[in-house]
Amino acid sequence: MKFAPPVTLLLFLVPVLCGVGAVLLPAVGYFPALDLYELSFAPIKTLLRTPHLTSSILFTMRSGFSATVISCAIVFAIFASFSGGGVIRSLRFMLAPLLSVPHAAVALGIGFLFAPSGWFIRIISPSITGFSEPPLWLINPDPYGILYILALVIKEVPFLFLIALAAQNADNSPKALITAQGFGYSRRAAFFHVVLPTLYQRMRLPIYAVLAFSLTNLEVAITLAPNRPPLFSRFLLDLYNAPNLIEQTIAASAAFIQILLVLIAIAIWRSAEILIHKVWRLMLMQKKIMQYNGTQKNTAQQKISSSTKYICAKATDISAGASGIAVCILGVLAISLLPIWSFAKVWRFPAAMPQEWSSNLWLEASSRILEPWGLSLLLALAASACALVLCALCLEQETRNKNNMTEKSLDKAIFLLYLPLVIPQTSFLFGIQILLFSIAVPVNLIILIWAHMIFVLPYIFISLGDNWRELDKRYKLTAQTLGYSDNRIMFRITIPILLKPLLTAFALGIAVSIALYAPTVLLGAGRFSTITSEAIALASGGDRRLVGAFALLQAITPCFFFVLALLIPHIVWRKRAFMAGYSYS
Amino acid sequence: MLGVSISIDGNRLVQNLNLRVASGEIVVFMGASGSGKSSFLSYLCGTLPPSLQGSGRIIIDGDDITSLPVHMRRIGLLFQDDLLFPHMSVGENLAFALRARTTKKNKEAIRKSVTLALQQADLAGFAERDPSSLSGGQKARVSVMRCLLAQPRVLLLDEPFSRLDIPLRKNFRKFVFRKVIEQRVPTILVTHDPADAQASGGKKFSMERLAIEKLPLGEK
Repeated sequence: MKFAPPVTLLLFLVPVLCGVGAVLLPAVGYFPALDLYELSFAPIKTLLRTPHLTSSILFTMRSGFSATVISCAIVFAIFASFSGGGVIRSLRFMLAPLLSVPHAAVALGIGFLFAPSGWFIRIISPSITGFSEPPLWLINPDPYGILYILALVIKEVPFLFLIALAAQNADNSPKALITAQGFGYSRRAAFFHVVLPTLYQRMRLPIYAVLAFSLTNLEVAITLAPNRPPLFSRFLLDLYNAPNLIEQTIAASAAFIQILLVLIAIAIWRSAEILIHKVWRLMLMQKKIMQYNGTQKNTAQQKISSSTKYICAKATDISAGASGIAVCILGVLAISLLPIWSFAKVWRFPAAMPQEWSSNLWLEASSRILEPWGLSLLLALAASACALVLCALCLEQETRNKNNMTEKSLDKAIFLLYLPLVIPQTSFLFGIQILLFSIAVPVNLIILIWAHMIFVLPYIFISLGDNWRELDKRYKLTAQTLGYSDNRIMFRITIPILLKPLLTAFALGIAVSIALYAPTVLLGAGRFSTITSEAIALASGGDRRLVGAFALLQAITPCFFFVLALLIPHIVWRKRAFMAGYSYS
Repeated sequence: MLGVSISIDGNRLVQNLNLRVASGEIVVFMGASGSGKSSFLSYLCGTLPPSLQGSGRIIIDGDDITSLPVHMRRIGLLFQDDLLFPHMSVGENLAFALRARTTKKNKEAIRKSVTLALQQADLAGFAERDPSSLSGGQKARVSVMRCLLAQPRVLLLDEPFSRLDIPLRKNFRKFVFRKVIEQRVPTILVTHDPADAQASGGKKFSMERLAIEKLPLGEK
């Protein structure tokens, strides 16, 4: 038990750090596997001469920031307008299922919606557009990456929303909100004054993770982003796949630049945070000084300003609610196109629905589907199970040692947890690949499971952590005084009581693993294929019905485990009213 | 107890306390919140947080338990909440206390003791019930029985009556004190309610006094 935290850190952080290290050395010309031992800036120089590099970087920054800013704005607007109300609860029910759907499935669905031959064009054709054939916008259809941003927003809004909800409950901010309203602040003002500052503190790291993902992900970039200029992650992947081994050093320096890119983006975001905070403080001071000097506006002006304020408030309420609902609707539409495609037999343009249906695809392609699906499940189950055991042991050790640990060391641990979510996946996985290549170890299933576990573990830890720590410590103390040792208590008391959070965390782990694309592709080097890698490989130009089938499996597999995580505790504890309602998450 | 002292950052909460509690005797510690009542109890349990410094020996029936871990001390602890394990039935909660130390106790014997304990608590036939379906008073009684079934050598009561409303509290208090005397357990009651102290009929100390005074050894 004592060894759980160090072992977890070792299994979890060492690959990340080694990966980063292993990508930095080739970037400066040191690559023993290729007999390159001399430091040189040649790779970086070659990279800098590559055409489109700057435009690719700028495009990446622009779309990454847009996606993050829009997602944050929607989530904060929803909370500012509806905090503590029923709207939040109903949005929760609509947004939570979207969280379990992988990015790739959403991106593919969005593609089905908005492609030139997609569903939106179909429903307005030929009546409005007059198109009887798909329009030929194939050459750079979306130069601004709007679809890329849209797909990310649809996925990140549910994530940030649920994080904010959890943070709010942990801070007990609904009560703070009511107290502040009691002092005469409007709900919105109360939100900005008393809730947002602490809420933001808790959301900072998840937001950085969203920013990093938006800047570096491969799955959405491949499915939806335009080719010219390519997003940087795609640019990196192309270099990485280059046949010439020397190009690997250039790819390594590109990976290094990607890491820099993320660090710079986070630095920019942090500076913006500080700036906004300063300006906000200044504005508050100004207001106070005005009040103090009696330079209040006269009543007529006040009246106007209060009615404008009212209109503005209503307008933000409506737009916040509308954007939240729009995210849900687009998400649901995108996902519902997946099964439709997979069961379509004949679906000519511009029909809004397939003319003929059939389940032939599922029967004919079953062998093609089953194998990647099996690997996906195997990776997901193994990685989540390992991560769950490690997290549970760490949390148990933490609660046993609670008194010896200071808050500060816990904060540090949280920071470490977010490391693999903030460091670009492509970069450190590439580093791991170089490392394995150098020590001549071929990638096998265990390494792949391990790689999946690195990404699964932070989510499981975060999801389980609060529940584990919130469990009334006196249960344990009572059992101790009744004569039970710590280990027996863990199995007889802690785990049974926390069954639901444990299973929920496990299902979350499955969802994360199923969605992973980069580890399978970068480490597997084509030898392993999961439903996610297959779906994305087929996305450009492949059979839409097969893409629909793979993406559908991606969407429903995690859902299945979430349903199990809800059902099992209900069945096991059906006679225990308290346990049935025992859900924090 | 011999020379028990507890301090936080150099501030004494309990100063060199020497105390002997006889079987079936109830000693009451009174004090407002923050006076060190809970720290005192956690020192006896062996769960004093490291931010506090405690010293002094705890001896039960001649055994020094000061350095034993919590689960070996055989101390019974009751809180103001019943803390029945929500995933076990009432009967399982009681059986849980019996299974702790006995490795090979047969099922029949456990079932019998559970039935007997429920009868004594006026809860006959409640074994299969879900704890959350019980009333506050019923839960509190189950909690006491669970604690006593483990046959503690010392019983610590941490404001066990303060959650119950007045009429219920009186009855429950009587029930607990009767059990303590029946089972002849040395008991320490910590409370802020003078009525509890009155009803116990035992010796009373105020936490404020403990912080400064040195009480003589062997006081009975």
